[in-house]
Amino acid sequence: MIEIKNLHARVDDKEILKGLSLTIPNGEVHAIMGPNGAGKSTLANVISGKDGYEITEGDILFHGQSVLEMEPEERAHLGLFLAFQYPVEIPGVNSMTFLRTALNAKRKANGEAELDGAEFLRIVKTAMKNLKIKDDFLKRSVNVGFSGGEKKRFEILQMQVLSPTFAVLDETDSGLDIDALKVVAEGVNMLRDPSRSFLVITHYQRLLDYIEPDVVHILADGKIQKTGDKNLALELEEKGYDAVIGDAA
Amino acid sequence: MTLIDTLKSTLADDTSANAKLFLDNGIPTPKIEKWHYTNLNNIMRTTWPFQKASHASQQSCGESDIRFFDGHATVCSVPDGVTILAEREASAHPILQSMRTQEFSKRDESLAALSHSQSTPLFILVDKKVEATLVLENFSMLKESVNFPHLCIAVTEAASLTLSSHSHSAGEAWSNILTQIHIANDASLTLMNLQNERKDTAHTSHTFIQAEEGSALNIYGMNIGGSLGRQTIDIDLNGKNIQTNIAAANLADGKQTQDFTIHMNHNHPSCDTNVFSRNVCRGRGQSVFQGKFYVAQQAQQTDAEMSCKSLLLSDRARADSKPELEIYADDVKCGHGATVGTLDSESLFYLMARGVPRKDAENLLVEGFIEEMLTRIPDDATAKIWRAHFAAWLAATYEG
Ligand SMILES: Nc1ncnc2c1ncn2[C@@H]1O[C@H](COP(=O)(O)OP(=O)(O)OP(=O)(O)O)[C@@H](O)[C@H]1O
Ligand SMILES: [Mg+2]
Repeated sequence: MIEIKNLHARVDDKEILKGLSLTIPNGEVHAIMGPNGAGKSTLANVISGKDGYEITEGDILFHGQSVLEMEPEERAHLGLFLAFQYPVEIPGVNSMTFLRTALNAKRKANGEAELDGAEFLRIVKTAMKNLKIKDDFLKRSVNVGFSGGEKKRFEILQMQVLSPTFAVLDETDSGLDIDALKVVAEGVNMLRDPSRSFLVITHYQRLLDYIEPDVVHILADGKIQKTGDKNLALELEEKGYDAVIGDAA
Repeated sequence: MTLIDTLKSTLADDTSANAKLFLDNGIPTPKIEKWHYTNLNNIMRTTWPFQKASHASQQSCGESDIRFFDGHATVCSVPDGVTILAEREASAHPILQSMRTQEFSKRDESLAALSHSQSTPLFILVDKKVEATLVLENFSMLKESVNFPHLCIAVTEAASLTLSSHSHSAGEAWSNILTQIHIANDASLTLMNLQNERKDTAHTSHTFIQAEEGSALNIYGMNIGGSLGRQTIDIDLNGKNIQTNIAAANLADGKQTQDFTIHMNHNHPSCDTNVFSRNVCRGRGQSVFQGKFYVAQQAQQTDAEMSCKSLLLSDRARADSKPELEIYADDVKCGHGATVGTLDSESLFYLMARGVPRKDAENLLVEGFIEEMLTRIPDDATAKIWRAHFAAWLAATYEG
């Protein structure tokens, strides 16, 4: 369970999150929609512990524990995961090495033994099959030369390998063709279980046909402006932000 | 008396042009353009007695085919197609003979001239496509010594040679290495030089290459050890359609200076050149990359690209880069790019968000940065060794 309470965040003296509150119980999928510049990625980054944001008020509790003072890797070890809106290219770092380093770092932090090569490979191969990622793919450097869609699939592959208990997906559907969208959505749905929760950030109602949310929020001007069920997304698609939330859009 | 004074008095009676060049100019100072960033003060101030090691008796070569001990070669084995010539045989070979009698004349070549005047070269003739890598080691055993390993290599028409060399030392020393190479038409050369001297040893190497029409040059270099590591590569492209690929990495820590200085003269049409430089500096380390492409008026359709990236891992580290183009032909594609920066914060966050602790994430990024250079090395065995040397460098933290 993740609880975000009255969160205020600034960048360079500009307030971007202005008292945002949100609670996602275990097992639920919440969607966030909102206009460009509303603060969706900022929220995702602040949850993950990225540098450069000043939290002036509020708190983020993960299973009852505040994570605000934690480094990004400590949050990852607790089970947080962020699928990036813009996955970063890292030249010279092999994708397989990267995955293995990440998984073993998490296991080590949680007092588990490092995986041997064969076990690790089995986990990765399974995830690759789930996401229809080709074999030679992971021989390449992290995200270097990947197409937009391949980068997003790789994010979900990382999620499957790291098996978090709470994942934020920041516009994972953007740039995906229809088939890839289904593959990625299926990759997320496979992980849905009563102990895991998701926050899905998207601009398109269509994604929510594949990943059915329990709750839909509209974020605008740094705050949750409206909360509803999946029909809220349909209403939004039909009428636009102005009509649904008025001036805050 | 300083080492240089001693050297000069030793050379005083030597009337050769090369000895004279050194006597007149001494050690290059930063006032000389090619040495602007790399200060040889430490060598100049050294007060060791000048010891030229006496001829080492035949030694074992260990894993190598040829080992220079304090500048003297022991040849243990050479692959088929490689012949070591005696001085008398070499003098009958016009190309090797011209190397033997070469007179340096530029002020910035005074150290090459010094080496030439003091050394007995090892003559290597390559007249086949040699598959196996010739493995060479430069080893300074003697403390407080200056050594002058000297190679003259001729690769004949359509022949090929892969040479992997590794320089290291057991005590404070100065290794001043001279390599003269001729690559005939359609021949090819792959040269890999790893400098990992002891932290108190100075290493200056001077490689001169004459390449003929249709030949291929692949040159890789890495400076890791030493108080000073300077590898100078001068290439004259003397024919059409020569392909050159160079990749060089400087790793500078403590108070080290690591330097690659590469000058290429494109004298004929349709040569393709790529020079790739990577530098990592931490502590008070300094890296230097100087690359110059000269393109003569008749060298049309030259395609020459130079890129240099430097990574500064501490506030007191410093990276100097000087890419230079001097172009007299009008139908050419020449470019260069140089960047200096710190570790990318977005990449760091990406790795940390996946659970990789900060220090490990930083190391992974530095590894990736150098891996882009290592991955260019076609000889897997050599690449593997260099990767291990680099990993040890990365894992060690020292302020020297
Ligand atoms: N580092 C920064 N410096 C200055 N302004 C920033 C910074 N990061 C974000 N902002 C601003 O904060 C606002 C929110 O940005 P954010 O990326 O969170 O929006 P978003 O809701 O994810 O938008 P989109 O739908 O376009 O992805 C924007 O106005 C943006 O310009
Ligand atoms: Mg965004």
